[in-house]
Amino acid sequence: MERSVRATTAEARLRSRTDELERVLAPLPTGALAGESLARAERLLDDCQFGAEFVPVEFGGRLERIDGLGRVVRPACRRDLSLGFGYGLNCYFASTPVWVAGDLAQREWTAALLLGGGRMAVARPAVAHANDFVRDEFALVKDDGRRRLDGAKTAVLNYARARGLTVIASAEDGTHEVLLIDREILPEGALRILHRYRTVGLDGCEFGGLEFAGCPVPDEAVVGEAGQGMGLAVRCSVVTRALLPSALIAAADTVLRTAIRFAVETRGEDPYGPLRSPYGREVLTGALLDLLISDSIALAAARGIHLLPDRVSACAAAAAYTVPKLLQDSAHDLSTVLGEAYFDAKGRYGAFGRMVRDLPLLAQGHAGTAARQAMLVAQLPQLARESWLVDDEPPAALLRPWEDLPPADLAALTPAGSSDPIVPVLSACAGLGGELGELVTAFLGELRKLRGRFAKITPGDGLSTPDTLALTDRYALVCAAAASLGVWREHRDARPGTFLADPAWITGALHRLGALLGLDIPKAPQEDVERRLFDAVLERYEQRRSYDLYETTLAES
Amino acid sequence: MAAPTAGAPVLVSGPEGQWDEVLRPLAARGTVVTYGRVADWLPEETEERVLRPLLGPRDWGRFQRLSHRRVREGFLASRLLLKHTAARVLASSPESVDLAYKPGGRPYLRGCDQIDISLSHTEEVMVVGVTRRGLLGVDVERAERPMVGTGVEFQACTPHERELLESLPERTRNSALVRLWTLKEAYSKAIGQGLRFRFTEFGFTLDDARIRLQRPDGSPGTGPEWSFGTYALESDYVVSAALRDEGFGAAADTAADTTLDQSLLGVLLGRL
Repeated sequence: MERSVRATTAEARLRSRTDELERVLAPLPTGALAGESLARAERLLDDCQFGAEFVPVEFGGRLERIDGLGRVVRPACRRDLSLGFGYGLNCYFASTPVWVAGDLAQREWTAALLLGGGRMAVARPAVAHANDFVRDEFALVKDDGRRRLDGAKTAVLNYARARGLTVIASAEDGTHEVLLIDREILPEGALRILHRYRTVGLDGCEFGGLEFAGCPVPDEAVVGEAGQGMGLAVRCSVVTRALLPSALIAAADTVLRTAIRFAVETRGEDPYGPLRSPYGREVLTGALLDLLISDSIALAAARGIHLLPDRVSACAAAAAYTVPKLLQDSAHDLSTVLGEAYFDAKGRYGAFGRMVRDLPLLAQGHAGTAARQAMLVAQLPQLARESWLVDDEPPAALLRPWEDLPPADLAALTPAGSSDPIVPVLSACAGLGGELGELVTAFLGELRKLRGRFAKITPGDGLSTPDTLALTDRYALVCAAAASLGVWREHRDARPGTFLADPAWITGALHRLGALLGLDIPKAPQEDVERRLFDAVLERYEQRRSYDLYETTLAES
Repeated sequence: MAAPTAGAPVLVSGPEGQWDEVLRPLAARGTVVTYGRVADWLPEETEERVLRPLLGPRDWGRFQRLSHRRVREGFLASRLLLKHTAARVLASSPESVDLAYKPGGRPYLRGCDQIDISLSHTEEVMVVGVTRRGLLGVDVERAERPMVGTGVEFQACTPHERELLESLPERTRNSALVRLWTLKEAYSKAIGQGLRFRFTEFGFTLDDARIRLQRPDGSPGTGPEWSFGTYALESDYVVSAALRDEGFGAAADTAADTTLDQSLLGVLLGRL
């Protein structure tokens, strides 16, 4: 984009950039990229300097806001997750240690690589309850003060083509080190490319094995403080957990859009089709609500990185924990709308099945869940005792996507906080009357129960039991309710007349989350709520606006 | 890639049953289907003090609202089989496992997604499926349940399946239809839909070597991540299982107390 036409506010810049990416990607088919068409799509992104999205402005890139990055990757993710995430967002994930703790030289090198269209890949450490993606890890061996890397890893994304590697390696003393490796300057034979790891979902993503053999590691490769690699990796995961929901939301947008397209295009054939049947309408509106809930907690997590870096981690972990579950469930419910077309591998409705296969892999399954639960369980007992139902609510800007933010200070991120970033919104909404007021009361009752349960847990003790793990699930749903409620309230106060200021969606959203928690609330929202939401689903489809908080105009593909 | 199937159901005759026989196939294949008889699983003590913690608040409430004796017994025994099975797999106690339900009714273990579960029961027999591979649905029916001639062929079968049924000798037609029905139930339950995913929109082959889900015209339906199996239970019942492998590879550990990584927790709790 020419500097002369650059918009003046961050929000305007974001809108014009997402519009530009929509236009550029418009010729591509949705959910059908593979082989040559995927390579062509990657070149289209290269041509508009997509890599600049992953580089902070102070290093010459376009990255101003974490929530902005979450929005900018959506046009690509809506078309294909292997493109938007595999080729795109994962490069930012890989480079987070550098932005959080890297020195100037490391930052400049990473910036130059990404601005030049190069790829970054990350090799994560092995964790408990690992899957094939995080089972093995590289070993860092120290000899006479020299470091070298050894060992193999099975499934690294962009294993063969990423020039920059961030490697989280374990040392013999049990500590970890984050290393930034330029594979082009490694000695011959130090790094071997193993075979590709084929997956059923995300099949355009290039996962594969890497093996280091006595690879020398210079001092300047160490990112952050020596021996503190695990702590750095955990702080980086606050950022990636705040961003992951955006990729899932974009995919779920395509899932819902494909389902409604099927319903609209076949409505003449079936007088009892999904647009008229109560269940069909319920799953279509439910899917929109799940998207809005997901985007609300994603917004709180992403903006929290700017506004509440010392306490956002609970919200980020809750977002990454609960959004995949909500969106995968609503995708399954939507399968009933498609019926036989659910099995289409290509064509007008093929994107649906493809995205449904991609979602679990992107969410990283149980290993992903377990890591997010660890982040929650480590701090919820303290939040229960000291913060819930006591602390003031977060600043209004947290949930106002249109407002500017101070630059993110990623070095200020902490793995766990001492006050809750988002649930105080519930207490602040306690005075609402009517149906919405009753719902808020029910959630406050749930929060009170959670406080009672968590307050009894000694930090570090009895954390990994099924009942405590179940409580983290409940907390994540309460968190999502608080974020959604906050988004509605900020729109009501500052953006009256908009869809998000209408109580219909938040009433429906709280009903949905309340049902997942088994709260004692009326079963379905009132009929006019249901009708307004269903109209919104149809209207956004017909007017080609995205099914998230932003209603981005989508290019015709 | 051929995904491993669920394997033949394993009998568990009570809370103190043969759990090694359950845990072994789960460790080897990633999936196990257990079954039990309602009569074997009815507890001797039925006071609130015992049952409430076992069932959890929601199922305890539902149990109390049931009035028909056989329905109550089936509900109670099947929840106990499910909770005991889940507790063994998680290396925990049935009281601490939170059995929850999605709004559409699909059961799951809240907070413990290392395994997916599915439950089905008839009047006498209950079946519980457990997998750590992804999604699972199970269904059990009486093998002799009369289906042919009841309209099921038209309400629940694809044209391709009707042809398949008509090509069979009359004496095997009903049992083939029962198998098809249980497969449909199993698949639809795996994706959390029950009868809401219309059974005429997908069908099955009954080739024992590899059962496949097909579209109504007989062309291929699901991809290689899905596998299906049907099994005879002591010749009186038919059990089907539908399994989706999410592709994370083998993960042998399903215990709850090892879920949280110690070095991660160390960082998070400020100990490192």
